[in-house]
Amino acid sequence: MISSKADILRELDKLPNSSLQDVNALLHSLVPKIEAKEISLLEVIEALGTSLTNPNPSHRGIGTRLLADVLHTLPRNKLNHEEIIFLTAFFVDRFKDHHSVTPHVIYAIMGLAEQENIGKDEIVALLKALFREVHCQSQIMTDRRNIFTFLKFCILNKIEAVQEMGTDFVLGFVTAMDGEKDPRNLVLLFAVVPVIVKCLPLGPFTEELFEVVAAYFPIDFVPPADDPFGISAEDLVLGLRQALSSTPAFAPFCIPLIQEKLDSDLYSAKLDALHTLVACCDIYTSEDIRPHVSPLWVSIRREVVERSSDEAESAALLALTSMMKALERGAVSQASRDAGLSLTNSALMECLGHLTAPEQRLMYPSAHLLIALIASGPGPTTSIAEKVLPLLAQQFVSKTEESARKNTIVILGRFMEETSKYSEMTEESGVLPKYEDVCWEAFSQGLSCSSSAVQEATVTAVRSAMSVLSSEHLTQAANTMTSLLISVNNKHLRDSIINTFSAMSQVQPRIVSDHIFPHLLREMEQGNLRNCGVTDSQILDTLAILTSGKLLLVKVLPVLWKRAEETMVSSPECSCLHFSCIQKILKNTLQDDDCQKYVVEEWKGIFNIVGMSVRAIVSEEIKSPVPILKCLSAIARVLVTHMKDTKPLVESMIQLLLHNGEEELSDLSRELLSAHQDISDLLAQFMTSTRAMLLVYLYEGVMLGMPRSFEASGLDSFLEKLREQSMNSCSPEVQETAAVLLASILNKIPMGSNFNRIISTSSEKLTEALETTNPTDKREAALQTLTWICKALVVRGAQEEKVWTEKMLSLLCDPAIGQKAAQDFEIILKEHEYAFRPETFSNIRLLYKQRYFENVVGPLVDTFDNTAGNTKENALLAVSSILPHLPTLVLNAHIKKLLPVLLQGVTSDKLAVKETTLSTLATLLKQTAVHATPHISTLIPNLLSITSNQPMGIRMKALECLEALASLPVPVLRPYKEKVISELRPVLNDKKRVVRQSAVSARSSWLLVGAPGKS
Amino acid sequence: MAGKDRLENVNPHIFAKAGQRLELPTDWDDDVYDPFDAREVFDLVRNIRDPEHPLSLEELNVVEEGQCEVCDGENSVMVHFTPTIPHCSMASLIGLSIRLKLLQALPARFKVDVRITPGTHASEQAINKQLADKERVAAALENPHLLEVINKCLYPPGSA
Repeated sequence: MISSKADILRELDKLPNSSLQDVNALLHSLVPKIEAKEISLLEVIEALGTSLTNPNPSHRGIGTRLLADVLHTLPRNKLNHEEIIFLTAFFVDRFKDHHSVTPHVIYAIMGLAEQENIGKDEIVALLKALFREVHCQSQIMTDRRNIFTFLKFCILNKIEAVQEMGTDFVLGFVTAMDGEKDPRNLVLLFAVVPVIVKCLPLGPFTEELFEVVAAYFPIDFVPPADDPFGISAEDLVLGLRQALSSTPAFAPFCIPLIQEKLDSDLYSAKLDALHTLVACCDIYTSEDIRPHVSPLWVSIRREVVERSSDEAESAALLALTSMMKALERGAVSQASRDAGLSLTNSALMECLGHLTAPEQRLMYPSAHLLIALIASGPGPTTSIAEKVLPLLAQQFVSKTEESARKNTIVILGRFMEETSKYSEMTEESGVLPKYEDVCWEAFSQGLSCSSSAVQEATVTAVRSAMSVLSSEHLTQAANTMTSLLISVNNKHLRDSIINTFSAMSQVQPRIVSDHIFPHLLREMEQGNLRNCGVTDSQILDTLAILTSGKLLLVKVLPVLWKRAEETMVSSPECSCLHFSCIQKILKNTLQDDDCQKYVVEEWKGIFNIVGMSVRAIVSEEIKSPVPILKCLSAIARVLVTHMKDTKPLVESMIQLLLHNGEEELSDLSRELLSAHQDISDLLAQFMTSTRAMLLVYLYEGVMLGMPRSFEASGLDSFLEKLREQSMNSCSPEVQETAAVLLASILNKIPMGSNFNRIISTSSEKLTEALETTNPTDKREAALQTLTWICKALVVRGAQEEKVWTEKMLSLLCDPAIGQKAAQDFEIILKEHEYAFRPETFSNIRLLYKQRYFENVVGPLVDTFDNTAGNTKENALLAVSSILPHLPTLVLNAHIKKLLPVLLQGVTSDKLAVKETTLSTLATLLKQTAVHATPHISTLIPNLLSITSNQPMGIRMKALECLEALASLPVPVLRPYKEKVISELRPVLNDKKRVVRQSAVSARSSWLLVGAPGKS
Repeated sequence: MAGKDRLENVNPHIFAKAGQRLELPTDWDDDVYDPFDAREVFDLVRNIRDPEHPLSLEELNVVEEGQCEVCDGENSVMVHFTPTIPHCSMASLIGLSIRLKLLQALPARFKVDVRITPGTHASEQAINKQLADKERVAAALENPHLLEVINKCLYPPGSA
């Protein structure tokens, strides 16, 4: 650090000989001195005299650079006006210096311009000197960037100075920009153009400015792979579009340019031109656009008719809408009114003819063009709707051909929908009421037509035109559709009716509740007595979808419940259908507070469920109550997860199970006991009687949805009972349910001594049960409990996870239960239907799947590599059980390690192993086949050999893998192409059609390898 | 992209597409033999694209299920196709596409015939003769430009 003033000045004097480090150090000591006014800038420049006047230009450069750095480092308010005037004069003069000094001057004036005390005159002087002395495009990229940044700074912050320069600035800017190639600079420049256009008179330079910008249209830019600034083609496209559409003054030049590009053969140019036209039409006036309307219309129409892609079609339609909107905006003048009218008329003239030939291809494009015009405003809408609506309505009635009627009614619906967006059309004197009757005639004929395709199209049309139809007609339509819904067994038709009804419940809820629901409920109550094509489950599904809001819920829920209760004995399947319908309805409606209040308080949901469950368990007549209990449990789960305070309920349930007649029961417990008379007997026999064990389903329903970090007295003993059930119960289903419930509670209870105690006792008990001396079924039950508890720990990311995972890994070598252990690895990562999910408030650690996989993949691959026989197979099975449930990103990191394992699985003797491996492999290869490249020489023959003489699942998966491999680069595949094609030929003659289909598609992909015309 | 002036039939009729083939329970039973039938052959050719339009042969009604005849026992397949207009210059190209697709996708045991539906094209006989001539078909498929056009019809973008 150089401290004294004299030292600094001396250092400055011998600057040209200093190293870069010295210069930096000098800068650091110099700036504070200037700030503290110990050294004045004048002194600095005088001291720099040797370098600034040095005959060697590079020395002069170093001096200027130091000065520039000083300016950039100084605080913005440090220089007074005099100093700035002096420096401005100095730098203006320096512009005349050698070209190698210029970059430093440019850098310096940026620093100078940022000083607060700089006046207008100085900025003008700097800009003029810059424009006069510097030829921008001869500078290197970074210096050009500095120039552009300086210009941008001036126009954004020193607008008075720039305005004083007026057109001189525009000319300077155009000259500087002309020929710029760097994408980053271009993005900057494109952003400056709209500001210039807004603040400055362009005068005679309008066309110059336009030309210099338009030269880049359309953008054709592929970003280099290593671009550190990440400029994308889209940045440029959007920037350029904004610049081109910035002022109406560009219109005379821009529209012909767009017109030219619309006729281009290049797809991207065409698309960009259409988008730019949309942007321009928003800014340009109708006067600008008017002269170009008819050629633009021709290009747009051609684009829609030829329809090279969806994107191009929608862009073209949008362009038409914007163009018409611009004309409408200027409708005050006669000329634009005429232009708008003539556009509408020529569109009508060309399109109406095609509308009358609805079975032909041009029907839809023509309709889309007219609809795009309607979207532009009420002006063209009246004249189009006047012609089109009666035409289509009559045409529907008079045509007989199915596809013609179908297309006509769909388009009629769309026209009505679009027209109804303007309030003046729906008013009494508007077009729509005028033709409502005629259109309804068509709709009503369509609904009662004999062809289901036409009916379906009409239903879709009714949905579009719903807001136009009078409520009387809509009611008629609703009634007809309801009778269709309960009499016709056609999935597509039913789906579109249901969609229409859902839309109707938004627009006209009364019609849905008064006309549709009573009908449906009546049908449901009749049940099997009906003889028509529609099953109960279809009606119930409809009810489940349509029920929303308390109004409908109150009507539906009690009826459904009663019906389910009645059929419980006679037909448990039917009863289950009703219960699951109730569950779906509750899922959809319980978010609503009113509905929730009704279900919990008025309808007494929980007591109903408890009572019904006990009835199902004790009833002798019901042979297999389990499906019913599962449905009830699902209903309870939905209810509990939506209830606000579940603590009393859960505590009472635990109390009931543990209570031995001594302590006082809570009110709620007593109320629960009164739900059914047999409940206390069942509770007492929970551990012993096979029927009473089924209570575990009820408990699952109530307890699975309890909140996180829940604590209750007696929870430990309750969990112990559950563990007992999961290990010793005689029914495998009860075992699994108990294990799932136990694990999902363990997933939620707070960490601490209590948690540790439960985990360690469980661990002891399980180890005991897993002793090899025990019978296999007992060991399997223990394994299942172990797996589920392990899942609970993995999902919440508990420390103990590691020990439990190791325990599972160690079981892989067990001869009796090793294979099951391997399969059980799937349980840990597979999403459960309802447990361990956010909606049941589970404790889910972020990215737990990834963590678990990272932990387990190493040991599994090691076991596979270092063992033989069954253990090897089991390790393989475990790997392929886990893989399908992992996010692909994780797999990519390990794929190199895993592929050799999977490839061996392909040739495994065990069919189960082979099939899982193949399906995993197929999924992997479909995502990224690249990693298979090194193994391809063994993989392809192996796969080919199992395309015949194997079970059909394996044959199909092998073919899928082969198809996925065909996406590899041609040079890799070329050596195998002939072999694959010829060996797949016999597979085309496979005895199963589905296999043949896979073979055709695999063989086609290989035929296309390196073939001309591959898309 | 074909310019509008080059389209021969700008505004063809469009027909509804058939649904998916109905699955039978035996389709997944490995012990049952599924015979080749008309629908299977129709499924092979229905998604071939028309060289002029972004439409499939099925949508233009160029091929129909009823026009595909299959005799599994006698190893013969006969497909009739109907050009959209009697002077369609694309007829032989469409015929060649159908022929190539069937050659690629059917087992070698089948004898495949592709013909124009009688009375639907001006030069029906000439084209039928051309399509039946193995040597001429093979020679045509040697031509890389022609093969490129046909491959684009057989495997349009987005179908795979």
